[in-house]
Amino acid sequence: MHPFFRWIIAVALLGAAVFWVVTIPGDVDEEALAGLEGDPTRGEGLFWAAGCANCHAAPGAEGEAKLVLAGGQKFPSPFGTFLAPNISPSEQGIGGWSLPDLARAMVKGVGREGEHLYPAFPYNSYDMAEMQDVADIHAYLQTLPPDATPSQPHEVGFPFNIRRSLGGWKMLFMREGWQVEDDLTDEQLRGRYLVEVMGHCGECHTPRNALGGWTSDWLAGAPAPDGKGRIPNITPGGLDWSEGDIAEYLKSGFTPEFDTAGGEMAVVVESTAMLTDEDRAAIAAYLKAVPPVEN
Amino acid sequence: MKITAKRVGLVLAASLAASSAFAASHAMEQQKAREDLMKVMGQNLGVLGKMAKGEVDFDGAAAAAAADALHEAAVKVLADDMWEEGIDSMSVDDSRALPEIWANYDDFKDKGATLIAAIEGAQAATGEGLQAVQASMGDLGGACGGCHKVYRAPEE
Repeated sequence: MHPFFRWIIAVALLGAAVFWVVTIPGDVDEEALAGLEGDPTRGEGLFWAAGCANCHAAPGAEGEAKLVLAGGQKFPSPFGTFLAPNISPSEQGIGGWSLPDLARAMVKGVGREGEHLYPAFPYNSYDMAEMQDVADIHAYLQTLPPDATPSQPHEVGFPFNIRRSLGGWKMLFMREGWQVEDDLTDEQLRGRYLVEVMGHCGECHTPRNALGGWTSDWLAGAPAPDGKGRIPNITPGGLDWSEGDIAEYLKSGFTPEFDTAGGEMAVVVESTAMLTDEDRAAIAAYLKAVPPVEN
Repeated sequence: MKITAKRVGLVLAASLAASSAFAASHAMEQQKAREDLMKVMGQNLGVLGKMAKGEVDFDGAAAAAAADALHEAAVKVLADDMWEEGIDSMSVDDSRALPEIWANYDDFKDKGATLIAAIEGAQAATGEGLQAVQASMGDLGGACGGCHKVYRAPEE
């Protein structure tokens, strides 16, 4: 064989090996999790802060029905359509999932079979969740009604259907720390946890590049992923509401002009309405500390 | 004057154009009437909401008047003749009324009934004081949002 071809093969093998290594799904510290006891009452509050029901309830579910996490809502995107899975405590859902299973999914984006999950599931936000909070959510999820609806496959074409390649996505785009690190008050720190982690606000409000990674314009607004309308800029450069206005919007859905939230945000307000006044005020305080982006 | 086929054609074309122009202006009028009523609702919600937020001192009489005006505007905007099928975001510029309204008209009406119930709750609350009004804002917001969530197109 010509030495040149040997080189090609060697480089290709090396490339494949590097790809294999960097795309190995991450893991969680099972020993640390073993010592945690989940508190379902605390978990209920975190469940609303994390907005689980907003995506995982059946399409069109309202009120109590939002607690049946049967899945089936569709999320169209430039990469294909993602279908929220059943995460109710049933065989078809996550009934048999241990705490490390849930933690691996939420903070590492790895499913129970060790497969990479698509970032339509906001693990790039949940990655910094406190393990006690994950344990509390895990405990609360077990108390919800089981549902036997089978999860449906995502409608995603080549090359995005190669799960292993998501390891590359994670290497390129998983964040490595807080988005806002300036001197923050205790209230703003609480708000940061609610916005950057649990509430995963950046998943919709931060623009993405062609491969779906966040740009540096944190919370600066973006086209809606389904192509209809625009998700607003909620940095101080785009949102001039007072902290009281923001907190009221997250509680009742009313804007300062007494119009209301619509579309996806009306769904989000259904869960932020369940937070405490202190937490909504903390979110507002944090949003004022975000670097302003004018656009 | 001879009635020619051509002349008949012209008259027909002219009357068709006139009736479609009429239809278009009728649609725009209805769309504007819906928005105007919702603006009235917004203004009166604002009276209640500013008191609830503590931006304005609570005034029971002013709150009651606002809740009554809100009720009146809501009843008007929810009337069937304000929602003719086809006068929607697909056919009228600036309209954000999604065609789904008419695909699920019973549900749309149910959501309207929820709104009226929430407003009646607010009307009662204005007689009870500030705390009751504050509590009623959640139901009002939920009722407004419940409909806007599924039946209003996002802003361009």
